[in-house]
Amino acid sequence: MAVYMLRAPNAFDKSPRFLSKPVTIGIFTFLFFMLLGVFILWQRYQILKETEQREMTNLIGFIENNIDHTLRNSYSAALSLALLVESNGTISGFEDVAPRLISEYPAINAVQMVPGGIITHVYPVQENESVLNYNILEDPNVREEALHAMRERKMYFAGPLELRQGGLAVIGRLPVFIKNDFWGFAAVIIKLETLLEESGLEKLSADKYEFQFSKIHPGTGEEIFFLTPISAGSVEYSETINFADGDWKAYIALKNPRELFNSLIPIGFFTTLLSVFLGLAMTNLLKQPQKLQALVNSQAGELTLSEMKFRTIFNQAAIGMARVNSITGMFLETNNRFQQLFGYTSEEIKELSVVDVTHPGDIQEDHSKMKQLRDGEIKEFSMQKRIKRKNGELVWVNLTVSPLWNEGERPTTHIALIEDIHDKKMAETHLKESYHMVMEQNKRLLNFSYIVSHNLRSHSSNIESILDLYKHTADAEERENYINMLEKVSAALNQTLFDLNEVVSIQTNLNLTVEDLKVKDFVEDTLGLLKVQIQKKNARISTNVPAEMVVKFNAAYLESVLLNLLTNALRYSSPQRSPEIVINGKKTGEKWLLEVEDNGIGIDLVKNRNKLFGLYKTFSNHTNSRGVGLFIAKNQIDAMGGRIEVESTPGEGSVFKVYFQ
Amino acid sequence: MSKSICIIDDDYIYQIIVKKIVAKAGIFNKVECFENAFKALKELQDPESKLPDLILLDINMPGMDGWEFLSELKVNRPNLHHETQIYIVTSSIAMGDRDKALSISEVSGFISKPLTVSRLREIGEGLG
Repeated sequence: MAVYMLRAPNAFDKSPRFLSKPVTIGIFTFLFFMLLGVFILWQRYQILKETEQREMTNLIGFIENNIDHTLRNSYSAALSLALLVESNGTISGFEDVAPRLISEYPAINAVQMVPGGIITHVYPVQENESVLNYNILEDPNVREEALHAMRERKMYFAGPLELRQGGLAVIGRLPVFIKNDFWGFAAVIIKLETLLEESGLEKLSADKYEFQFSKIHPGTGEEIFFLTPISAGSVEYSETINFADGDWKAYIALKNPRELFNSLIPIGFFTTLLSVFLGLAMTNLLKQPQKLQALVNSQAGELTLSEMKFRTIFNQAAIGMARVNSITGMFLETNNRFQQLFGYTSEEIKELSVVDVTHPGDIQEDHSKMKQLRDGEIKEFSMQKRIKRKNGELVWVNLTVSPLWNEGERPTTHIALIEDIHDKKMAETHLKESYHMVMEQNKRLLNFSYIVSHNLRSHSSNIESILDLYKHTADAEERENYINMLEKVSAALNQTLFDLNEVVSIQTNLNLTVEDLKVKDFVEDTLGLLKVQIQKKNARISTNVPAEMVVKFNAAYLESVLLNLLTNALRYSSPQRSPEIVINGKKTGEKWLLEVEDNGIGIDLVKNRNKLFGLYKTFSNHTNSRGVGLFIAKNQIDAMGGRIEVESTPGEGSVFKVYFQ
Repeated sequence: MSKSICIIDDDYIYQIIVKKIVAKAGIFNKVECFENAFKALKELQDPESKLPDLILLDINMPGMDGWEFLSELKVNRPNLHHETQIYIVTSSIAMGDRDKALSISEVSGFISKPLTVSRLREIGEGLG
């Protein structure tokens, strides 16, 4: 029997240690992807931020350019005004130049000439009349800035400040010197409103950006804001421009600096989800081998258990089991019961093949069934056969053979199950014999009952008829005749009853004394009894019965059988020749055989074989034939467990053979 | 009108009885008896000879029984059925014998022993 012992595979044992901690790996996976995501997001954020910054730098550059442009225009305009100052300090042609400047530079709202700090000329006059003759150097609000321009000897933009004529404006003052002596200022007034408009600030998206415009107070150094204050958080995302000519600062800031960050939140969220998913997936993936390992372990456990169970069944089974090579018939593996049945040890039996231990009479059937099995014609087979034990005993077994190869595969080995059915088989044989015997006996008894009724009825009907005839006749002579007939019938009836009695005694005597009998002695006694007949017939008798011929038989039966056979041999002799009778005793195998051979008239066995030993069956016209002798002889031999046979040729003679048990 | 009868039976006493019964019945003026079937067959199988009007045949006889006699007789006399009437007369009570007798076309009837004068008359009057 194959031992399919599965070892738990070691491959997994050698796996890296960390593989046994899928959760840890899962967490690492999650963190890795999370970090990667964050890194990418950060990069993206940086790029976006740079873009934003660049955009803001561009914007502020654009604004700076615009303001610069306005300031340069203002400077040109102021320079043009300054050129109006004659070397003697008078102003000529202001009325012509001023309107042209105003129309040429739309950013400029007004121009002034301020000799010695007093505003003497202004254009357009109408809105600005109120400032005429105003001494700026005496106004503490503007004096510092005016002096700053004077000190620096270059144009300086003051303000934004509240104009006396109303509105916020910046005032660019160009100090004018005549031969190094301060003359006064050429001033240009630009309304803050106009400046901002010219800067292009207001054209920019108000949704996205916030702006501020401030001035560092030249005196106090304090920063003064002119627009709505920017929210505190925005300062971080701001760009600043410094205008040295006026100590101004312009700010641009993102209205909603968190928007950038917020725009990345969905992606961040998605990245997190993805990382979590990948982490879980990795954990699950790494758990697979563990699950498989667990499955393998549990299967291996079950297999070991079932192997153990099988081993136990195999070894403890009450049925002999063997695994046999299907080609050579050699025994490969046997269980205890098998060895016990055959009487060989496990080692001895491995040297033997099926043929060695099978009764020759059963090899053919076994062979042909094995061939059918190998050829796939049958799936398994059972047969009853005799096996030879080591001590030579024959044991009846029931053999069941099942192949261990799959359908379509080449035959390899098979399982042979051997069940000891010897006692059963013997009992069966015995039962069959008994059944046969009982059936035979029953048949004989039935037959016997017919014979009895027939014979008795034939006599009774004769008596009835004779009495009837007797009654209907008055003739004395005839009546006496009938009485004589009745006597004869009575005698015949007597004989019949005697015969029947003899038959019944055999049929009923089941527990007869059986002893060892020396046949030679019985033959001699019988020949002594028949001495007269032998002499009368002039018969020659030769006897070849060995002294050691001893049979188990009932003495009275043996006498009766011998008497019947010898009487028949003498009685049915041929009229043409004197009788020659040969009596032989010999051994056939284990059993003794007695032959009685004659050269008499013989029997036509073709016609009469079935009737020969029947009751009241006669085959000749011989007057002494009653059809009882052979019937009784056969019954006596049968009752002793032997059998009788006959060989005969009509006209030449017969041989009766008695086989003793 | 003369009628003949033939009796085949191994029982000597029975033969004597039947002869008396035949005489009493007064139908047959010719009676022939055979003590076994061999002798009867030897006499009756000659196709040239005339068969008796009635044959009373026993079944259980030594050597050749009634059945064998019938089949042997048929060999030489294929028209047996038209030439004579055969009655099986036996003391056997085996149903098999009765059934077998009636299944043979040449057999006209079955008589259980004892044969009586009246039964013989009945049969005799029924003859052609």
